[in-house]
Amino acid sequence: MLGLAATLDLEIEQLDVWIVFLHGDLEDEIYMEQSKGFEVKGKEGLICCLRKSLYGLKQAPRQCFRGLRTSNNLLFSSVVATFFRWRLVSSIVLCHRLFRCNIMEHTEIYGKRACQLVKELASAEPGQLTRFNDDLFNQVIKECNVHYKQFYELTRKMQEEGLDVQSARNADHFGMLIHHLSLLRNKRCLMAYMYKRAEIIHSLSWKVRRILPQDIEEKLCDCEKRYFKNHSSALQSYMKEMGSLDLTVDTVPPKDPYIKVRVLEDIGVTAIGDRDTNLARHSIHFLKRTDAEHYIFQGMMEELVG
Amino acid sequence: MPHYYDIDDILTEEELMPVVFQKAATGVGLLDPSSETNNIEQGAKVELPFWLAAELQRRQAAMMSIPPCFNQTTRKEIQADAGSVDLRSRCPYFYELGSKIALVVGDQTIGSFLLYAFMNRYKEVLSKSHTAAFAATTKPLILLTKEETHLYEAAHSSISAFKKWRMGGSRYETSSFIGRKRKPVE
Repeated sequence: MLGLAATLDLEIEQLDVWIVFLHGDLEDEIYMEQSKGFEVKGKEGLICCLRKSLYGLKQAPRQCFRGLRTSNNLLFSSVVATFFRWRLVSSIVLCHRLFRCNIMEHTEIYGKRACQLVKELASAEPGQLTRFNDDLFNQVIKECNVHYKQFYELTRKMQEEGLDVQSARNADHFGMLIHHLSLLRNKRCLMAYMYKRAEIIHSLSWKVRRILPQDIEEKLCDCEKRYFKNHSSALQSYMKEMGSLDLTVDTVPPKDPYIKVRVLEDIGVTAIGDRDTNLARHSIHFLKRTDAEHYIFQGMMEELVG
Repeated sequence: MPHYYDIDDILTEEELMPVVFQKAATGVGLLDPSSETNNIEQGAKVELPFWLAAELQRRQAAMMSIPPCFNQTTRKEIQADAGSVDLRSRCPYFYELGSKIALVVGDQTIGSFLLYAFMNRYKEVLSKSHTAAFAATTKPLILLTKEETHLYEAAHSSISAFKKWRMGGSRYETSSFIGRKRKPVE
């Protein structure tokens, strides 16, 4: 949630009972020394002017209570709750905006989001599609753009310093290297995500022919829908060229051309063979294997055995 | 060489490795949570995913050490009773990661250790999966790594296919991706 809020630049409002005293706004001017060991570098001599209550302050409980009463003052974000004490102290010194910048940078380690995408694939049941994760996908692309920008900045910096980008091995070089590797990694994850989904999608066109069931279609993104359409129409035209040979049927020759089926979903009156048959729900029919087959694959009938 | 799109390979490479930076790097302070600037200093100790750590090691920008799932404690536990060690929580891609690390770090002992662990655990995986009544019996599964889980499922599906063949059954079935009565994941 924090990561999301940071990337979208939202404000989080949340109250944590453990830090409830820290939510109070101060009325008096109170100064404190910087905590031992947590001094801001280069500013050791300075003291902090408190913007918010601290534990141990006389004013803390009262301010907190006042904050609760006016409740719209409880704006200090949950970020405070999760950050360590030294960050808290520095947040008093530094202005809020700078603090927010800090959080922006501390969102996720490189390639983490892309990996989450891939994990989603891995945790899905084999052969099953999950909903296309638009949100995460775009976030990864955004991260790629950030890497590219920083990579480019470092290149420019090296060129300004008169260094050869190809051969110099300084800190900038290794920074560039890490950005470059992260880009490659993100690319691999994104490609794998699309590739695995495409694999499932084109196996669909062999199983359900041209029409996708509604619940599966909802899970695809636009380009995947196009992909499915193109793939199944390519398959259809290939079968037409082969002299209207249906390649999607079961490859094992049946023992009996007729099978007994039960209808699971109302299909209605359908022309089967040379006459119309009413395929009402729960009715049992004796049908030609080839007629019944695609209904069975689509889950509208089941074969009765024995 | 695994496939470029291999999901398991990608996830294997996401495992974190302890790394010591030999060179400084600018603009990547995010990798080191203790760094106050946006840079990484020489000698910084951080945990990086394998894909990054291995490349940095190859270019001698960082030194990678062996992650905790291959340390002495784990080795001793495996020697004591391989079948009951919970490898999944330590590293779900134990074998794959192990064979990758062995190449990069140059530790000779990892290979034989992996082989020993696998041989001793395989026996149990197979016998448990053949006797389990349902594939979803979770008790043995929670200890297994990803690869062992695949083995377990393969063994289980082969035994259930065998049973089905013996008893006879319907040849046509609803396509596996239809008819799942599960709520869509939001």
